[in-house]
Amino acid sequence: MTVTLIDPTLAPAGTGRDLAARPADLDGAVLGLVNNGKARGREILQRVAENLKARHPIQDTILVTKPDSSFPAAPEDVEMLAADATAIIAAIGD
Amino acid sequence: MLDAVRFEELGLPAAAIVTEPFTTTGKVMAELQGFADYPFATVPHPIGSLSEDQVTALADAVTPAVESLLLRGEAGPVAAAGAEAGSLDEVVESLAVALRADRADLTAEQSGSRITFRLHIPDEACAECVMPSSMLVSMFQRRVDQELGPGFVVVLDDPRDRGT
Repeated sequence: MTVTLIDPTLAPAGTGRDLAARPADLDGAVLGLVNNGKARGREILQRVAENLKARHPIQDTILVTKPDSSFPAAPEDVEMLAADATAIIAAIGD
Repeated sequence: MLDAVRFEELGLPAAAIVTEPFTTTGKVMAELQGFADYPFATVPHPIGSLSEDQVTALADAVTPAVESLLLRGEAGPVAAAGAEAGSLDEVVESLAVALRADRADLTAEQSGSRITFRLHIPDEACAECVMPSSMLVSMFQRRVDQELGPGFVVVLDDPRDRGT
């Protein structure tokens, strides 16, 4: 008889991953705002975006709201933001 | 946090905003995705009960950190307060913040290179809300390694393991 052992513990997906390259400035940036739906997240994201717009010539913002904060953003939202946004702000981890 | 690191993987600079009690969990989540020491911005907790003016003030306060994250990949001055640990007491305090959200608490004793963390879960606390021992000890070991350096053995005394 074959016994299969399954390890339920978590392990890192990898190590030493690098951050995405940072831009020199936010001129013409399109900010993707990922609201996970938790209290005040949308308000904070929009205010932060307004503040950044006041300091940089940001082209546009795109707000997406997750239906459930416990799950990653919807694949279609990720795909859209990856294509149309140049930087992401996500809130709020709580 | 997972969304932010997902976009980093896709090549987009990202800034995650988390509440202070979520700091430890957020760090572990990022580490599990391969991003050790992933920088993020923190805001005080709770925020759900804040007035509109208070939310605006909070957003204004965290904006420089978000800007720094997007342009330099560093959290800047807002999140820096959470990264000042260097003693065992400071490590314990930083870890205990998240546990207190569930009315649990944490203390620690050091004997040579052995650090015993004692988890306190009073009757009124939500024992099931606290992370399982296996995750806690892994998290504590990482934090000790980061803040105090390698060579320490972390042990967790968890009352749930004693069936109480």
